[in-house]
Amino acid sequence: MWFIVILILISTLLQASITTLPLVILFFLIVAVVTKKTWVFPAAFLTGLVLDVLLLNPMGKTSLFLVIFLFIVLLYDKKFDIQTFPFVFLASFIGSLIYFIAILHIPNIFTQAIISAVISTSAFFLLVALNKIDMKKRVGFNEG
Amino acid sequence: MKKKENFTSIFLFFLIFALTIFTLSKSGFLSFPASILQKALSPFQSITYSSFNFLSKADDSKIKRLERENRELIKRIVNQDILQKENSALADQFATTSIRSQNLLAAKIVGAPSFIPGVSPPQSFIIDKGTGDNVKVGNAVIYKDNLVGKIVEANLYFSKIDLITSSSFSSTVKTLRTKALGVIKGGGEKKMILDNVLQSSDIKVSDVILTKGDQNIKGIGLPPDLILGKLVSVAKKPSNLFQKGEVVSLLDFSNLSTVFVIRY
Repeated sequence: MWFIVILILISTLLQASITTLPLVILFFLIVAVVTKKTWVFPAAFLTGLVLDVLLLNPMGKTSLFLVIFLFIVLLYDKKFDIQTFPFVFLASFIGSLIYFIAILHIPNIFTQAIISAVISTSAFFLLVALNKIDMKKRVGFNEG
Repeated sequence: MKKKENFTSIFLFFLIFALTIFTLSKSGFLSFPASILQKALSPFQSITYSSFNFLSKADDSKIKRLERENRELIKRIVNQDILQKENSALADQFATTSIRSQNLLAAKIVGAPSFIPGVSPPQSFIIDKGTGDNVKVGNAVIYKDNLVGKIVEANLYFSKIDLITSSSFSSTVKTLRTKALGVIKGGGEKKMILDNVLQSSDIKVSDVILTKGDQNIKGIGLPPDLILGKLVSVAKKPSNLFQKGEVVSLLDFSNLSTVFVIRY
C-alpha cells in the first residue's frame, strides 16, 4: 500500500512540476485494470484535487475527469477482459487525448497521447512480467 | 468464483462530490483553502522543478553562452533606442516609458510542465508570488527586458503565467527598426506568429519585435518596448491583405528559474 502511495506522490509531483504527460491518469488506469477495486475512486479523487491545486486549475476538474474515466474503464470489465495490452493501450491513448483537449489545452496532443499509451503499456507489461503470474496466460505470454 | 465489486454507487458519490467542489471552486469559494494547500505542497513541487532545472542547466554549452551574449546585445540595442526616444520625449516634456526596478517583483518558478522536461518548451509557469504580493491577473512577466508572458490565474500565494509561445497568448507589437505594427500570437511551440502587418510596412528577417503596449489605467497589461523575439521568416504575398512572419523568443524558457512581475 505504501508503495502505491509513494508512486502516486511521485507521479503527481512530476506532472505538476515538469511534464505535461498525464502520469497520474496512466497510473490510476493501470491500478484500476490490475486491481479492479473500488478504493481507486477515492484515491483518484484526492489525487485529482492535489493536482488541480498545484497546477492552479479550478479544484475538482481533474478529479471529475479521473472518476468518470475510471468508471468507464471498469464498466468495460463487465463486457470483456480488460487485463490485456490492446485495452490498456487504447484506454490510455483515448483517456490522454480527452484529458489534453478538455483540461490541459497544449500542442502536439496526438504525439503526447501516443507516448502516454506506450508508457502505460510498458508499465503494464512490466507488472505482468514481474508480479502477476496468473495474468500471463490471459495477456498472451504462454501462447504458442 | 470471486464476486465482482459494484462500482456504481461509489462512482456516483464521488462524481457528485467532485461536481460540487468544481462548482464551488469556479464560484471562488475555495480559493483560500486552495491557496493554503498549495502553500503547504509547494516546497515539494519547487524541489522537483529545481532538481530537473539544475540537471538541464548542467550542460552549459558554447551555444548557450552565445545565446546569452546575443540577448545582451539586443537588450543594449533596444535600450539605446529607448534612450533616443526618451531624449526626444524629454525635449517635448513627455514622460518616459522605461520600467523602474521598484515596480519589479522577483518570483521563483515552482512548476513548468512541458512535454519532455528540459527539451520541449513549457507552455505555462507556476510562480511563488500571488495576490498577497500585489500580483494581478493581466500583469506582464519579464526576464532581462524580454517578455516571458502574462499572469492568467492568481491565488493568495501563487500565480500561473501563460507564456508568449502559448496558443492563448496574443498582443499588438511593433518592429524596432521601422515601427511597423502587427499582432503576435503564440504558436503553441517555440515559435510565435506575427500577423496583420500591412503590405506597405517594411519588415524583414532578423527584425526585433517589441510590445506596443496595452496597459489600462490601473497599469494592468503589457508595457511598451519589451522584447518579444526576432523575426525568423516573412511571408509577403501580393494576393494577401497582410504580411505574416514567424518570431522566435530570445529566451530559453526551459532553463529559467526566476522571472520578474511588473506591478503598478
